[in-house]
Amino acid sequence: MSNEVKTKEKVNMDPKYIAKLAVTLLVTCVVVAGLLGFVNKLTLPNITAANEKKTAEAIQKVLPELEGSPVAMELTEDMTAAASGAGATVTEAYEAQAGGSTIGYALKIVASGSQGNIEMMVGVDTEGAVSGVSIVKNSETSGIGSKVMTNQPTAKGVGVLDQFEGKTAADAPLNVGTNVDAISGATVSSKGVTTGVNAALAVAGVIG
Amino acid sequence: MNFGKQLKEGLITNNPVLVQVLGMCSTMAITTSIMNGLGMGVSVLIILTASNVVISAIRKIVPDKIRIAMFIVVIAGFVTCVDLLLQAFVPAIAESLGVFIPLIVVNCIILGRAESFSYKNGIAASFVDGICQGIGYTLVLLAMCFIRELLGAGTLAGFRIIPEQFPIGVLTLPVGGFLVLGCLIAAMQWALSRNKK
Amino acid sequence: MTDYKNLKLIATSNPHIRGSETTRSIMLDVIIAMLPALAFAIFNFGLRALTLTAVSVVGCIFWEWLYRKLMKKPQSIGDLSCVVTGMLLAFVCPVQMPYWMILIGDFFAIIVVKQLFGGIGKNFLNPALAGRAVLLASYAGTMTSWVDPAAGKAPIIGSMADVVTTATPLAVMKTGDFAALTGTYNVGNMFIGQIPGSLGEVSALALLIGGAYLIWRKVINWQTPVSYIATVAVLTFLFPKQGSGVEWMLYSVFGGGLFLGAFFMATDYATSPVTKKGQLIFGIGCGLFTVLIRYFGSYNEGVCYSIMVMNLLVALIDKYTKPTRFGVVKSDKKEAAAK
Repeated sequence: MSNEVKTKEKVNMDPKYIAKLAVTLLVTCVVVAGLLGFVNKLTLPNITAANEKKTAEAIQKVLPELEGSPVAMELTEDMTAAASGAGATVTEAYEAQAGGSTIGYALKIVASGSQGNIEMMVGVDTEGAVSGVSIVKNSETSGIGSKVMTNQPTAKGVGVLDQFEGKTAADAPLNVGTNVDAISGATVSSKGVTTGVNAALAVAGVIG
Repeated sequence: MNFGKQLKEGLITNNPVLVQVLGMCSTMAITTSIMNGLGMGVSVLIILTASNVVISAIRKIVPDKIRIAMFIVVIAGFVTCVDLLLQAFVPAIAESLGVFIPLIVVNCIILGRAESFSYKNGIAASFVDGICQGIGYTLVLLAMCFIRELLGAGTLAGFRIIPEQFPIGVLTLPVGGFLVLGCLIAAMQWALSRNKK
Repeated sequence: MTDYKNLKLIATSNPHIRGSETTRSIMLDVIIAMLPALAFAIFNFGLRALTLTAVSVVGCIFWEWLYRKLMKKPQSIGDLSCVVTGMLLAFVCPVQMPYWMILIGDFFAIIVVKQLFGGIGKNFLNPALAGRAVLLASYAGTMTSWVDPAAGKAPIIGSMADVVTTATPLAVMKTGDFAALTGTYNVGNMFIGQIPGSLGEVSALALLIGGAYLIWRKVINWQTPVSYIATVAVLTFLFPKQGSGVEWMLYSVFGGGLFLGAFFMATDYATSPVTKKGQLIFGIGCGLFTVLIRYFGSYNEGVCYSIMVMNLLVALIDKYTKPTRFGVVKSDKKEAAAK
C-alpha cells in the first residue's frame, strides 16, 4: 500500500505494480470460481429435479394421461416455420409417453396478447386433436384479459381455454367469432390464445 | 463501534432506501407480496453482510486501483451462491423474484456500503453494518409489500383479507410502486425534519 | 377560505386573481356549464347519474377537508375546485359503478394528484383524469362495461345484475361492424347523446352548450377545444377505417369523451399552457394522441390518456411559446427561449 499513488493524473506503470494487480484479481477470481463450482455441484441435482418437475406438471395439465417424464424434442426448422406461419412462436416441444407408446405432444407457444406475450402450453394427442391448453405466463389486463388466462366461462358456459379441447387441424384455422368464443371485452386476449392454438396444431401437423 | 448507533443509522437516519435512495430497481419491482419482499430482503441482508466482512478482511491487500473490480467479483460470487441455493431449496421464491436475484450484483446498496464503509472499517464493524443496513432495507421492502399487497391485491402473505372485488389493483402495477415509494420517502423526510426541530 | 391572519404577498402559479374574478367565481361558472350535461345524464341513465355525481362531489370535498385538516393547512374547499373535480370524475365513469369505487377515485384525484403536490394550481395532471386512470387500471372490468340507456335505467342502490350492458360506439368502431353501428344509432342519436358511454360524456350537444357558456364568460379560450376537436375531425376524415370519411368522422367526434375532454379537461388552468399559441399546440397534440390511441392502442378511447400525456408537456410548450419581451430583436429570441 505504501507505493500507492494518490494523485489521479499519474498512472503507475511500474511492471511490478501491474503484475501485482493482475495476480490479485486472478487469485480472487479463482477463489470465487472455486467456491461457485462447489455450490453449483451441491445444488445442481436439486435444481434439475425442480425444473423437470415444473415442466412435467405443466405438461400433465394439457396431457393428463402422461406417465413418467416427457422427452424434450429438438425443434426443427419445419416446426418453427409452421408456428410462425400461424402467427406465433414455438419455443419448446415435448413428446409425452404412457405405457411405452407416444400419447401426444406438448408444445410451448408464445403468441401476442393485448398487453404483451402470452406463453402457453398446448397439448396435442396423436390423433391431432387438442387435449388441453394452459397458460404459463402472461401480462394481460387484470380484470379483463386475465379472465381468459384463468379459463373463465364464455357466454356459452364453457371455459374459454377448455373450448379448444378436441379441435383438430380440420377445424383450423380457428377464429374468434366463427368457431371460437371470446370473453366479452377481452377479444384481443382471446384472439391471442386462439393464434397460439392454431400454431400448435400447425406444429403438431409437421411432427405427426 | 457502537452497535446501537449503527442500527439507528441503518434503520432510520441513514436508511439505504428512504434516505440514501439506493437499490430503487429491486424495491420497485418485487414489492408486490410479503413473501417476495421477505425473500429479497433476507437475500440482500445475507449477501451484504458476507460481502462486507470479506471486503473488510481483504481491504489491506487490495490495491486501490482495482478495488471496484474486486468488490464486484466478491459480490457476484455471493449473489450467484444465493441464487443457486434459492433455486435449489425454495424454487417458488426463486421463480417469483426471477432476474432480480442476479441483479443484486449491481444493487447500489451493496457496492455503496463496500465503498463507503467496509473498505474503511474493521471486520466486526463491517459485519454489524451489513446486518443493520440489511435490516433497514428489508423493513422498507416489507412496508412497501404490506401496503401494496394488502391494498393492491387484498391479501397478506397469500391469505385473503379484503374480498376480491375491492382491492385497488393499480398499486400492484409499476406505477403503484412509484407512488408508494414516493409517499414513504416523503413521510420519512417529513419525520426526520420534524425530529431535527 | 382566505386566512387573513397569515395573509402574505406570495407570487404563485396560475390561476392569478384579477378584477372581480375569483377562483370561486370561475369554478362556479364551470359548475354551471356542466349542468346541461348532468341533466342529460339523468335523462339518459336515470337518477343514479345524479346520486353518483353527488357521492363523488361529497367524496372530493371530504378528502380535501381531511387532508387540509390533518396537515394543519388553511381550508380550501370554499374555492369549489374540488366540487368541479368531483363532478368531472363522475362524468368520466360508467353510471353503474359502485359508490365506494368512485370514492377511491376521489382519493387519488384529490389527495395524491392535487394535495400532495401543493393543492390547487400546483397539480401536474388533471386530477379527475388521474382518478379515472387509477380506477381504469384497478377495476378494468367495471370501468369498461357500459349500461345500455335504451334497455332500462340503473337502480340507485342495490344489485346491478339486471342491468343490460353493451359496447360503446367507439368499441364497436374499434373491433366490430361499423355498418351495424350506424343502423343502431344515427348521427342525431350520437350528437344528442342517446348512446352508451361514461355518465357525462355522451351528449355532445349538452357539452357544446356548456362549452359555449364558458367561452362566452371568458372562463376558457376557444383555442384548445377548437383545435382539439378539429384535429380529431381532420384525422378521422382523412383516414377512415370503415365507411365513408364524413360518416366515420362524425361518429368519431360525437362518440366517446372528446367534447367533455376538449371543453372541460384540456382547458384546466393548472395543466394547460398559458399562451393562446401554446393552447393551440396543446389542442392539436391532444387530438393527435387521441386518434393514435384510438387507432393503434389497445383501448378504444384515448381522450383521457392523450390529455394526461399533453399535461406533462405543458412546461415544455410554455417554454417555447413564451412571448418575447417588447423591444427584443429577433436574433435574441433564441436566447430568450433557451432561458
